[in-house]
Parts: sequence; structure tokens; C-alpha cells
Amino acid sequence: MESTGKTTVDTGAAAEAPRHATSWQIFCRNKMALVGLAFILFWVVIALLAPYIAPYNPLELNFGDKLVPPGTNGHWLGTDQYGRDILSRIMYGARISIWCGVISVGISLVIGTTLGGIAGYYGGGVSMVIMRIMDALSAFPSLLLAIVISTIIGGGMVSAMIAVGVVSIPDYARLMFSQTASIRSRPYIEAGVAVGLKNSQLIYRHILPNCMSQLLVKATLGLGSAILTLSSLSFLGMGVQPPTPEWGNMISEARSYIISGEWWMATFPGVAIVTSILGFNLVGDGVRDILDPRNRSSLN
Amino acid sequence: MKRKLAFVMAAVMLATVPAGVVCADEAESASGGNIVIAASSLGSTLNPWDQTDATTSAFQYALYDRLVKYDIITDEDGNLVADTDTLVGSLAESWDTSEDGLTWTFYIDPDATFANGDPVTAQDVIWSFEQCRDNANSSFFFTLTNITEMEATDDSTVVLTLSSKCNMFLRLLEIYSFCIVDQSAAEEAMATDSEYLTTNVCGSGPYELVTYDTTSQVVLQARDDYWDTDALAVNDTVTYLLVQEASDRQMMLEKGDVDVALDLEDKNVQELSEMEGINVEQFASNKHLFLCLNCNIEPFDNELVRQAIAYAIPYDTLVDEIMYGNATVTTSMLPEGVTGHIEDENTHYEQDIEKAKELLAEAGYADGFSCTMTLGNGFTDWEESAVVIQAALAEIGINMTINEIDRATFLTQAAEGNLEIFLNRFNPFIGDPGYLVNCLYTTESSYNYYNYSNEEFDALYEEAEAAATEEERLAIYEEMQYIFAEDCPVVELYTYSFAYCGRDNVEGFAYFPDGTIRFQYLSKTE
Repeated sequence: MESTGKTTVDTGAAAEAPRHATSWQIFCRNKMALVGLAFILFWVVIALLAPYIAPYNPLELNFGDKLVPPGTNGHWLGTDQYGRDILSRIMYGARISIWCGVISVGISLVIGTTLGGIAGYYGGGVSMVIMRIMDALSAFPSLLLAIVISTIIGGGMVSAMIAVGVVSIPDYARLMFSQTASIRSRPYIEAGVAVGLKNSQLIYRHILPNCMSQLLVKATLGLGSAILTLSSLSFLGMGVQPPTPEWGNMISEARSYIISGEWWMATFPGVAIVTSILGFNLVGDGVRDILDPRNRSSLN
Repeated sequence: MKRKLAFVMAAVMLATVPAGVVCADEAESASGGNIVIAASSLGSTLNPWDQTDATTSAFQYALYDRLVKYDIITDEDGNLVADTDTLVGSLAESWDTSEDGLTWTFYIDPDATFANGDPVTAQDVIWSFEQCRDNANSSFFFTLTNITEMEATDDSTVVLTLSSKCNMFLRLLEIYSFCIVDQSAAEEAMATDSEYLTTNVCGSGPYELVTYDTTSQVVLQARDDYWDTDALAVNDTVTYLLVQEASDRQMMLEKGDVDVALDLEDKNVQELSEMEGINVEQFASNKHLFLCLNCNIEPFDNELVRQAIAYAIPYDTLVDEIMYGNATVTTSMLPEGVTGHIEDENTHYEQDIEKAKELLAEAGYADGFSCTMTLGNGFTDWEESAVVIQAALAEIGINMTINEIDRATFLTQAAEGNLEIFLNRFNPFIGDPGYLVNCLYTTESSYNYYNYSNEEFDALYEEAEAAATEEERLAIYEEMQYIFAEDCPVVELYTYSFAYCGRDNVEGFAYFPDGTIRFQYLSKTE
């Protein structure tokens, strides 16, 4: 990667300020992050274009072509036990996974940061109550909690999204809480209070922006884990209901076909889940690299 | 020091691995005549009155006797089947019936003894029947017998008095709820342990219990001193293994680790029947699947809507594709194996999309409607049938979403009677029309979760059960089948075939209507 602008003087004694690498450059230093980005972009594009590029209707039953291996009769990835095209179902499944993932993370982000922010800003009894509830929630294994919430609300895609969202709220709340609590005592906040700024203004305009970076990393990584938990819920029968295609429930339906030789029914949705989660994880790492102050140094 | 400790712990963990493998082999190392069976469940109790799971009642049939049993015959394919028309004496050597059919006198076989040597007496019979009557799980069967009084006129004579005629009386006495238990031994043991009969046996059957571990296996040993010397078990021991995944059971059968595998996947049955070393036999059963429509909930309260749905279903697709041919289309309210079954174009529906649309429009739903099917999970064919039905209903404009929930919750919700549309299955172990109708289709039936209520139908049922001759009775059931098809409270889908899958060196599998194995007929040649 080329450096932008002036190069530093070798002798180093002169007064020129060191050039900072741009965020993009730092990101690009991390090859794995680029791979991750490629995966994410791939799935996002597929998700957006699915209705236009999917070769078959993902819901159409066609017993004449049932259980054909990849490459037969125009079915690039084969068909399932009803004769539905796996490639089309994976494409439509991408829409669901990404959309539900975004909404779940959105729920955790909004509710978590609000609760954490309130707890961190006001301190005292309020923060005790809120943070203890967060502790209680995070004491449960996340998948188990998601299953319980999903069962209580009733099955289906919406309840799965809510369940996955609720399960991650403590993570965001804790992050926001610690950030807020530490920033709260800084001089510029005290100045703001002295000047008469309202609490909400202080939180939204001054505290929140300082936490954004960390929240962003968490959200990116969180997307991957949200997709995984959603797939797990669907695998267990609690999330997306048949016949809607979703990677998790495609694998669930394919379980008994693995041993009888129809490997493609479970393998391709599995690859889809792996690559999409990997993508988010790698990008999350890359974003963390950007925000790490140690990287904000000269290019040599 | 730490490294050594870590090393030792790792070695210990690795050492436990082969132990699991060894345990599985142990069951098989006994000499020939040890039949090993892989099953998906071992049930939860040996107590005949607590038993609610018909498939694991195989143990009660092996460890206890009942007053009567089915005779075994060979059907036209050369397979052994229970002769469901003929009941012969087991503990009861013979019996008399009064002319009005209300008094039955059973004479206990004087040679009949329990495993501990005590003779089987009339008092044991009456005590056992009282337990059956008083236990919540078995009382349903007891009430079906209409028994009001039980008396031991002497040590080997039991007189049972009925309140009204019971057409399936002897067939009822054959089932596991009417096992005869040794009163003195059981009462003595239960004085210190009220749950004694859950894990122990006080019976007279052809087997005795060696191991009862519902988490891994149940082992039974044939008794040489069984009192009925004409009906001794032809094998030495039976090992019933718990193997939960169908694919595992199949693999074990293919490799020869087990002799018989139960509940294999339908899609594999055809393949298995062609494999060397494996013998597959298929039998028609009475277990049938039907689509229930709640007659109290709009729009299913409209007969035309129900009929429209019945015309929309692709019955052949369900049988050929979902069940891989291991089922037959159910052609009437009474499955084919039930006495009184008739079949013509007015007892069932065939797919006719145009007709379905017409009826729906006539009912006022030309644009269709939306509904939700509540699906109990756990059975692949239910899930797949639901998807096929969903697609079929979509063709006539009905938008059905599937809400899949776990089986236990489904059973509870179904029993409340508020599910709009759902699949359900029933296996009448007694092939008697009165039994089936009484369980499923009268207004008061305990399994009538779809609120079907037709006064004419109920009246005909009462008339049939009070009929003087069997002919009259069956004629009434004919009429009921036509009425039922017209009312269409449920759409009959298919009747399962029972597939027995075993190694080809195992003989003697006899098919009984409840689908449960009777171990005593199985033998293995090495």
C-alpha cells in the first residue's frame, strides 16, 4: 500500500508531525479483514438480489426432481426431499439471516446502550438495579436463554429475532455502562453540567460519540453471533417456520439425509453459515484494529 | 508436577473412551438365542397400570400374562400374524358367557403359577383388575369393559358382571392394562416401596427380568419353569437397547450389531429390503394419520370449507413421496384393518382442485383465507406432510402458516380443543369400530379435540353398541362411515404400514395389531 502525502524524514529529529494512516489503510493492512469483508459483501449482494437472480422459486415443491445431486437438471446445488432447489433457498435464506441479524443486533444495541448509558450516567441505586438485572441475564447460557424467550413469546421469526436481541442486551449495556461511568467524571462533562446542558444532551452529544467505536466493534462481531444463534433456534424448530428457507432449518431438515448420502442438503447451508459468520468476525477484528490507538502511528 | 498431573488426567480421560464401546458389545457376547433389539425408547415403567406408551408395553407382554391372548396364524405372504378374530385362553383355561352377554365366568388354568411359585388365583385376577380400575392411566380401558362387579366364586373361578354388553370385551382383556399381577407378592413389596412395580416384576409371564435400566438397556431371560409349557419362549435372552437416532439403529442393523431394529426411517425401508443379510417384512396396521379441522372455529365450522380442504389434498403424493410407499391411503373413517371397514367413492375424497375451489367459493371464501396449523414435532412424516398440505391449500387460496412446537406442548394444546387445524394420529390396538369411534368421534370422546358433534352420528353409535347381532351392528357402522365422510370433521390421510426390519437369520416375528413385539416367538440361527 502506498503512503499518502509526505514521507517522514529519516533522521527523525525535525518538527514535522508523523502522518497518520487512514482508517481504510489500517483496515487493509489486515488481509483477513479484507477476506471477511468480501464474504459479507457477497452475502449482502446475494440477499439483496435474491428475488432477481435465484433460478427457482424456493418454495416450489417438485417431487419429480427430488433429492438430485448438485449439477443435475439445472439445480447447481441439488434439491431437497421436496424437490426444492437448494441454491435458491440459500439465496433467500441469506435475506432472512442478514435481515434478522441486523434487527436483533439493532434491538440489543438500542436497548443495551440506553440501559447502560442511564446506569453509567446516573449511578447510584438506578445503576445498581439495572446492572444487576444485566448480570442475571448474562448468567444464562445464551442459546438456552434464547430458547426460553422464544418459547414464551411463541415460535416464529419475529420471536426468534426478539429472543436473540434480548440475549445480547447485557453485553452492550455493560460496555456502555463502563464507558459512560468513566467519561462521566471527565472535566469536559463537568464543564457541560456547569454550563447548564441537559442530561440528554450530554449523553447523546458528548458521551455516546466517544463510545461509538467500541460499540461498533461489538455490533459487527455481534452480527455473526446473532446469525449463528438464529440458525440454532431454527435448527431446533423454534425460529423460522417451514417452508420459509433459513440456513438453520435447512440443516435441521437435512439431518437424516446425511447418512443416506444426500450430503448436499446440509453441507451448503452449513458453508453459508460458516462464511457469513467468519466474514463478520474477521471484519470485526479489522475494525478493532482501526480503533486501536497503537495503530495510529507512522507508516514505518 | 503440574505436567505430570495433566498427563495422568489426560490418560484417565482417554481410558474411559473404550469403556463405552465395550459396554455395547457386552450385550451381544451371550450365546446364540440372544436376540438384540435396537429401539428409540425404553419407556418408563414396568407397571402395567401406569403404562401409557403402547410401544414399550412389549415388556409387560413378556413378563406378565393376561386371561386371554391372540392366536398366531400364517398369512398369505407366509408371515406370522396375530389372528385378531380369535382369542384363546392364556391364564384362563376356558370361559362361559351368559345369554345376555352380561356375565362372564373365567376358569383359571390350575397349572398357572407365578415366577415365584405361587399359584395364580382368582383373587389375583380381581385384585389386578381393581388396580387397573383405580389407576388414572389405565382406568379408561377398564371403563370400556363395562365391568361393574367382580367376584371370586372359588380360588380359580372369576365371575365378571357387566352393566351393558361390551362387543370388544375379550379383546380388551388381552391388552397390557389387564396383566395379572401376584397380589400377595406385590402388596408385600409395595408396603415398603410403593413404586416397586415400576422397576420390578411380580408376574407369571414367559420371561424374567435381568436388567432394567431405562437409560441404556433392558435384558430379559426366558423362564424354563414357565407354567404354559406349550408357549415357552424359543430364545434364551432378549436385550432391548436404547438407540435414539434412527440412523444409528439402521447402521447397527446393517453391521449386524443388533438383530432387529425398530422405527427406521420410511425412506430407507425400500433400500434395506434389498440389502443382503437383512429381512424386511411389511404389514398393514391400523395406525392412521388425519388432518383435524376444528368444527367450532371459523371457517372450519362450515362443512363446505372442510370438504373443500379434503378435495385439495394430494393423497397419492403423501403416500408415495412422504411415506415412500410405506403407507396406504385411508379410504374411510375406519381404516382397512378395522372390522366393519367399507370403501367406495362416498367414504373418502380424492384430489380434485377444481371441485375444491368451487366448494370454497360456495362457502363464501372465493378469495380463500388464512389459518395456522399447529404442528407437533418429532415425526418426519408429519413435518413433511404439513409442507405438502400447505402447498396444496395454497393452490385453492388458503394461506396456511405452520407453527411447529414441541410434542408435549402440542399434546396439551390439542387436548384443550382450541387448535384450528392440526395433524393427529391414532392407533387403535383393538380393531373394533366401536373402540375407534368411542375414542375419536362421538361428542363425548376423549380424543375429540376437533369438537365434532353430530347428534345423528352419536345416536347411531349408541344403537350400534346395543345391537343384538354383529351384522346389525356393522350395518349401522356402514351408515356412520357415510355420514362421517360427508361431515368431514377430519380429513383421513394415510394408514401406516408397519415395517419389521431384522437380520435374515432371525425368524418368528409375529405382527400384532398394536405394533408391539412379542419376544417369545423370535429365534435366531447362527
